[in-house]
Amino acid sequence: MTGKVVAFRAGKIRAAAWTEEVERILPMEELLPAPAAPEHIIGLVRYRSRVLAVVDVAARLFSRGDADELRYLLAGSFGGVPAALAVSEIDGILAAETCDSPDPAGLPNAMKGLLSGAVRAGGEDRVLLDLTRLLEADEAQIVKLARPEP
Amino acid sequence: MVSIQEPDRLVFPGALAAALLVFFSGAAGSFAAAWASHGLSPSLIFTRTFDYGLLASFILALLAGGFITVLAQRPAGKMARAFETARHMAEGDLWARAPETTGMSGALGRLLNAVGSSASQLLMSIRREQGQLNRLIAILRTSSIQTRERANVALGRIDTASRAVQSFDTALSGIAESVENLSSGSEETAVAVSQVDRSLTHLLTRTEGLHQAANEGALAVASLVEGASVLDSTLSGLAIWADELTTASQKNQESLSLVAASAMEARAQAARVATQGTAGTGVISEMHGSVTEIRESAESLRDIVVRLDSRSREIGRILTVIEEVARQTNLLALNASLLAGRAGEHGRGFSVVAGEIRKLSERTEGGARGIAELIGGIREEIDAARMAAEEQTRLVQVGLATADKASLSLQAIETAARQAESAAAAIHQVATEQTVALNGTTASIGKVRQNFESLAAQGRKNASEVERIRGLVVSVNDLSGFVERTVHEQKSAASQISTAAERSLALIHEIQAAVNQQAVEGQRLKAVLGEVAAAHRETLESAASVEDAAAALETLAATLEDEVGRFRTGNATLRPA
Repeated sequence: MTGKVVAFRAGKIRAAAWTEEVERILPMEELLPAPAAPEHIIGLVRYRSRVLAVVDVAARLFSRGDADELRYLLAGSFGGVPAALAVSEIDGILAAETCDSPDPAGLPNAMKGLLSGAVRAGGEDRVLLDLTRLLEADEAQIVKLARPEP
Repeated sequence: MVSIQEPDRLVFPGALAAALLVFFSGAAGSFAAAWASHGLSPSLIFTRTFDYGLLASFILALLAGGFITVLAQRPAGKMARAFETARHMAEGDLWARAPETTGMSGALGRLLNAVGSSASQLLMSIRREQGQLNRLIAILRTSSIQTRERANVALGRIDTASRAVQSFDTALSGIAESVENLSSGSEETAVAVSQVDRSLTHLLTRTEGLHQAANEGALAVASLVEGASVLDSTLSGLAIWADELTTASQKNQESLSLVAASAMEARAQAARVATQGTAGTGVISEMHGSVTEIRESAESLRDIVVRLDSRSREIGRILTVIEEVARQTNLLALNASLLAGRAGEHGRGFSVVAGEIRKLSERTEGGARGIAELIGGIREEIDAARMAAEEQTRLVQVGLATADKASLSLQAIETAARQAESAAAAIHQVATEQTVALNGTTASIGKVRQNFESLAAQGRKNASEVERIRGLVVSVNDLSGFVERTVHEQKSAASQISTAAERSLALIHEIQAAVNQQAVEGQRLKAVLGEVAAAHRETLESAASVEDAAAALETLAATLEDEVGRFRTGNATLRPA
């Protein structure tokens, strides 16, 4: 399978997501607090008159480094769940084709179920995140945060 | 009513009718014969002719009835078998056959057999047609089920296609919105580029001012070098004078024994010392003036350095603006690439432009970062220069204080010399005290000498600092030239970004037109899909009707099968194929 991907870095992991899944790339800005949220839901951000929960992808995958700065947000609706994914770096919008899955260093085995495969983009292999499953466990929390009760 | 299926019942009535006919015919004949022979009278019935005739008629009637009965019994049996055969055939046994004898019963038997054969053939044909009918019904039902399933599948696909078209429509709306955002973003980029261009022009003006300030700094440094040279030569003269003074004091000490004898000479010597002290005070005053000039130069240099620091901070702020614009341009280019990637084939050209814009913004960001690093280096050098200038100012202050002390010492020498001159007459008596005083003078001169040496060393140090500052000014000059060149490059890059933004706007308008066209096509496709769905729903209804018809046909075929199954054409009952 070939197509265009958003190539990004989440902590130590070089990852990618199909462009059809990502609606907009936003700069990281000051986030609104998300009370009683899990550690990897780091806050809320306003986007087009909506409020999105911001998920730290590296923290969700347990591969977050202390020195990693979160600089960008990938906004979109992933499996019907509106959210924004916080990542360290955007490497570009690259042409990609699927390839055999590599074994990403530093990713716990339990987290490998959140990958949907791998792609080769920009001359290097990247893991392809299954964004729907990534947010599946927190869907109720994210939806509740995104639509707070009046 | 007599049924044709019961011919035996016709024999007796027929024979009775025949007997009665014969009897009444004979009776009539006897009556006519008696009337002819005896005339018409009441006694006619008692005539022999009539009585015998009546008797003969009765006998003949009996004979005729019996004869007819006998004659009728035989053909009636054949007819009965024929009728029995016909009854079996009517009950469904088409295999039954009638005897094909002569006469009417034989003809009737042949007719029945022919009818039976024809009925068998007809039933066989019906059986074949019934099998064909069953197969056709099965095919019809299968076809209608397949038609319904296919119609359902087609409806599902049409539904999926409708949803896909709806999603496509939504995506198109999103693309249109994004393209609109991109358009406004490109316009913002153009405005930002214009602002960057103005900022760069301002920076260029400031850089030229910096260049001019550096030139002024170079002139001030040259003046400082000259002042340091003058100070050095003055201090050298003072050192020589201090040496001479020491020598003189030593000579005074050596000739102290002669002082008493030559008080006048001592007085003259004291006067000369006073004169030298006055001259020393003048020299110290000149030195004070030179050091003051050095201080002013140092303060001017410090002001220049402060201005340089201010300018470098301003450049830093402008660079922050450039970096922010480059970062926003990069983000815009990323989102443009994202939209282009989602637009597929339509977005390929735009993707290339967005990539070029992103490269340009990265180059701008890299250039700005390089300038920021250079400015950081410049600021470090400026900090060092400022510290050197402050150190120089401090040293000059120390030099001034030392010069003041030297001046005070010289004034004290002068006072002492005056006192020595006035007390020359008493020198002899106070030779010992004078020796002590002369020793103190020698020590003071030594201290002055040391202060002069310290001043000379500080002057040399100042000279080396001045040389270093001159080097820094040259570096600042070079850096300002570099900043000027970089600003020109940035202006060129800003111009390229502006051109790219214009091209992007044109492409965005093309994409908007394509998106609108796609929306129209999508609406048309939705209408066509609606029509196709309606047609498939009609097909579903038709298939249901066909299935109902097939079911009705199946019921009729079952009824026909039951009806046909009642007939027997051979050893087995007929069954459909």
